Order: sequence, then C-alpha cells, then structure tokens
Amino acid sequence: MRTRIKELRARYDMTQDDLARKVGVRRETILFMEKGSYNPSLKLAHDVAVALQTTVEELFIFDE
Amino acid sequence: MDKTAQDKVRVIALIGVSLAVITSAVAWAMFDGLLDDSIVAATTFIIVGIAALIMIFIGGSMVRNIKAGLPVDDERSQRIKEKAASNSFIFLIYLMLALGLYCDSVNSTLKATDITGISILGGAISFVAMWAYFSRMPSLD
Repeated sequence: MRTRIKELRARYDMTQDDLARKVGVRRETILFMEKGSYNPSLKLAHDVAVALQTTVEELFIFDE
Repeated sequence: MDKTAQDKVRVIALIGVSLAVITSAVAWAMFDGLLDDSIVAATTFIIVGIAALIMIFIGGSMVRNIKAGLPVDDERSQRIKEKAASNSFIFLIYLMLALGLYCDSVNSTLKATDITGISILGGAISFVAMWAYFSRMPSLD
C-alpha cells in the first residue's frame, strides 16, 4: 500500500505534527501511515482524507 | 473531562504508580535482608534504575505529546500495547509453568513466592521488549 499523505501535506504546507493534531493522533502514526506501514482504521483514514481535502480512494493506493 | 485533562491525569497516575512500584521493590529488598548480599543489592538497584529510566522516558514522551497538543494514546499505540501485553502474558504463563516443573523435578529450594516473583519480573521485561519491538515494526498486521 502507498499513500499520498506526504504529497498532499506538502501541498497544504502542513507538518506531520499539524496533521496529527488535526486528526487527533500521534505524530508517529502519521509517519508510519506515510510510509504505508500502518493500516489505519476506516475512521482514521476518513479523518485524514478530510483533513487533506481529498477522498480515501485518492489518498491510499493499493498495489494489486 | 476533556481529552487533554484525561491525558494529564493518566500521566500523573503513571508517575505515581511507577514511584510506588520502585519504592516497594527497594523496601522489599531492604527489609527482606537481601541487600546484605552485595550481588543481590547491586542487581536490585540495577533493575530499579532501569525501571526508573524507562518511567522517565515514557513519562517524558507523554508530557511532550501533551505540550504539543497531541494525544498520549491513539489507535496505533493502543494496538502496540495490546500486542505486547498479549504476547508477554503468554510468555509469563510459560515461564511460571517451566519454573514450576523445574522445581518439582529438581527438588529446588525455590519457594512458590519466588516462582511468582520471577515470573512477574520476566513478564514485565518481556512486555517492555515486545513493546519496543512492535513500536519499530513496519507493520502491525
């Protein structure tokens, strides 16, 4: 799984801390999500997508 | 009570419990006469020192998160704790079983309280090791 979190964070000039604070998680969680190493819950995935003004489908890319 | 206030209460409670555990360990070692033996005394203080360092590290991390407006716990950290706790619990059970069988077969002088204490200590050490391991794991699945 890959994510576009880092790309969209940069677009909105957001740090990992800013995004973590916005969705109510720790910075480490955002870090591991960006690496594609952590599978978030549906709620967290949705919250991150909303914070980055996109959709879950656009944010998380699954390699078939 | 909002989330930040709850986190502050948790940090204070964690520090209080950690201090109580460390104080109890030192008091037990002192009043049980264990500190008369220099090797046991050194081992006790090393273990207590390590426990204190771990408490300071965890407490410091929690305080930094609160100051940054971030939560102390989230879904990922809770999953890490659950995995570490479940694995270390299984290790603790096996350790108690192994020590019990060893005492029965070898006719060791270990008492039931010693077995319990060693197993609990082993469980605590394995929990810390598992927590550190799963924290660094790229995937929790």
